[in-house]
Amino acid sequence: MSAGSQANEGWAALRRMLWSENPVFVQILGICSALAVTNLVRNTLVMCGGLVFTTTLSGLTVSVLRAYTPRRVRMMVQILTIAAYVILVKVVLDAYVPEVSDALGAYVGLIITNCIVMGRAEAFAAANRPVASLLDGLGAGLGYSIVLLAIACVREPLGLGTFFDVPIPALADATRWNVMVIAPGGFFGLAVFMWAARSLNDWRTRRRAAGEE
Amino acid sequence: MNPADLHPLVILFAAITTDNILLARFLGMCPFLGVSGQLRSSLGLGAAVIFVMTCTSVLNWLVYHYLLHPDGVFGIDLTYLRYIAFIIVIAAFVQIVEMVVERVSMLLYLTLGIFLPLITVNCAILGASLFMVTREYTLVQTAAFGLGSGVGWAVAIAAMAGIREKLARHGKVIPQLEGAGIALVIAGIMALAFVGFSGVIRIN
Amino acid sequence: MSDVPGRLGRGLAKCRDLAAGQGSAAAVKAYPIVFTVVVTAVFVGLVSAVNVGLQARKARNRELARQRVLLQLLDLVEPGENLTDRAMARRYEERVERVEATAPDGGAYAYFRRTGEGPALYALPLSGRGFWGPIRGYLAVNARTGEITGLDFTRHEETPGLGGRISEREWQRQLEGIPYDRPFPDGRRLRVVQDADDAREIDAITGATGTSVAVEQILNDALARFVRVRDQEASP
Repeated sequence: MSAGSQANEGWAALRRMLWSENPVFVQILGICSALAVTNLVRNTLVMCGGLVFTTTLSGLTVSVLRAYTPRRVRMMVQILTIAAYVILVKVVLDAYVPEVSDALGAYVGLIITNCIVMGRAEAFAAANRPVASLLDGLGAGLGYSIVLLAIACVREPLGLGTFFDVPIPALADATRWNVMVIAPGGFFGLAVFMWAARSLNDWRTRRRAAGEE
Repeated sequence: MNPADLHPLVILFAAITTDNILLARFLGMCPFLGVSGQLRSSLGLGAAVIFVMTCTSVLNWLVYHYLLHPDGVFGIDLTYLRYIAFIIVIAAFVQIVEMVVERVSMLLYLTLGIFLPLITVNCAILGASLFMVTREYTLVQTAAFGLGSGVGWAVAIAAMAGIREKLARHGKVIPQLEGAGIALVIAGIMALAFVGFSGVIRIN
Repeated sequence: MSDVPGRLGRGLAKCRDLAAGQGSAAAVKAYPIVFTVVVTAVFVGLVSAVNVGLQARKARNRELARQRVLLQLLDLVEPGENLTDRAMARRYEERVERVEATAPDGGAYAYFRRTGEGPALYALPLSGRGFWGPIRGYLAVNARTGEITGLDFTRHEETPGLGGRISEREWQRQLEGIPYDRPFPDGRRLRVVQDADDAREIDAITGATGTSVAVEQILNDALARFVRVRDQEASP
C-alpha cells in the first residue's frame, strides 16, 4: 500500500487519540504522571514535551522492528526502545540545556514506565505500519498533553496563585487552596475533567440524535 | 539518618503504612484505577505484585552493586544505565515467571498469569528499585522494602476494590463519573487520609 | 562483495521467518534470545556512546553551575551582573578558596572561603537525603557576625511545586540573618516549623512535610560540622 494511505490511517489514528480514544480520560492510562506534574504549568509542558517525543519515536521504531521481533520478547523490546529514547533525551539535555534537564530529571522514570507509551506501542505500533504508528504516537502524546494542560491551568492558579510562575494579580489576596497542590488535588482535578468531558460528549450525542430526528 | 540504623522490620512496616508506595508516593496508579473493580481480581494482582516487587528489588540491588557500581565487576561507573538495567531485569523476570507458571499450573496461569504483562510496566516496581538506590539500602533492607512496598500496594488496591464493590451494591453514581471517575475521587480521599500519616515513621 | 544489499535482504527475510516461528527448531528457540541481546547491545551502545561523548561537556556544565552558586553565595557577583563562563571561572579561581579540614569523626571535610577584601563569608557544603532523593547545596555564613547569609541547592529531586520550592529565592531568603551559634536546648541550630516565631525558625513548605524535615536535618548537620571544625581549629 502506498505511503499516502498509510498517512491517512495515521491521521485518523491521531484524531482518535486526541479525544474519542484519549489515553488519559478514556483509556485511563498515564495517571501517575498526570497527578505528579500538573501542579505547575511549566513542569507539565516539560513532561508533555518529553512524552510526545518518546511516544512518537518509539511508535515509529517498534513498528519498524515489528516483523523481526519474536512474540515472546516483544514487550521487553518495546520497553528497551522507550528507555533508550528517554535516556538519550536526558543525556543530550544534560549537556546542552542543563536547566531544562534538571526540571525533567525527576520525570525520566515516569516517562519510561508511562502506560501510554507502552500501551500505544503494544496496541498499535506492534501491528501497524511506521508512518501510521508515528502519527498514532504523536496523537497519543498530544491527547495526553491536552488533558494535563487543562488540569494544570486550574491547579496552579488555585493552589499557588501563579500561572507559569507569574503571580496572578486577581488572585493576589485569595487564600491558597493547598489541596490543589498536593496529589489528592490531582485526583480530584482529573475526576472533574472526566466529568466535564463525558458531559460534553453526552450533550453532543443528544444534539446529534435530536438533529437527526 | 544513617541508613544502616534502620531495622528491616521498621522499613517493612513503614512501607506498608506511612510510606505506602501507592497512596503516599503515587506510583502504580494505572492498574489501581483500571482493574480494581472486583475484590477477587485485585487480590490476584496484588499477590503478583508482591512477588515481583520483592524479587526484582533484590535482583536489582545485586545488579546495581555488582555490575553497575564502580566497585563492581566492571570497575567503571555504569550507574547511568540503571534505568535500562532495572527495566531489563524486571521484564526478563516477569517473562520467566510467566513461562514457568504457564508450564507448572494452568490454573495459576489463568488467574494470576494474565496480570503479569501489566506488572512489567507498573511504575511502582521500577520505583521501588530506584528508591532502593537513592536511599542506599543494604540487601536485607532492600528485601524488607520490596516486600513492604508490595504489600502496601496490594493493601491499597484491595481497599479500593472493597470500597468500589460496596459502592456498586449500595450507592448510586452519576453516569458521567461511573468507572474511573468515581475511582479517582475515592483514590483522592484515600490519598488525603494518608497525607496525615506522613512523617510518623521515617525510613529515609 | 557487490551482493551486500542482496545478502542483507535475504538475511532480514530469514530473521522475519524466525520471528514468525518458521525454521529449524533450534534456530527458532535461540532467535528470541539472540534478538533481544542484539537489540539491547545496540541501544546500550548508542546510549553509552552519546553519554561518553557528552561526558566532558556535562561535567563542565555542572562545575560552572557549582561555581556560579558559590560566587553568588559568597557575594562575589554584583546583582544584575552577567558574567561569561570564562570570566566566572577566573573570578572563582581568584576569590574562592577551598579549605580542607578533618572532621571530628575523622573524615575529610572541605568548605569554601571568600578571599580578599570584604566580609568573612564561608560556604558550607550541604549533603543529605531528601524526600525523593539526595539533596546537595551550599549554606553561606558570616563567621564574624555569626549569621547565615544565604542558601542555594545544586541538586535535589523533590517534588516540583512542593518540596521543590526549596530552590525558590523567596523561601531561601528566610535563612538570611539567622544566628547559627545559639542552639536550642535540643541541639538544633535552626528549626523548620509550621509558623516561624523565633529568629532561628523558618516556615516549612505546606504539603511538603517530608522535604521540610529533611532540609532541617541537612542544615543542622552542616552547621554542627562547621562549628565543630572551627572550634577544633581555634584550640590547637
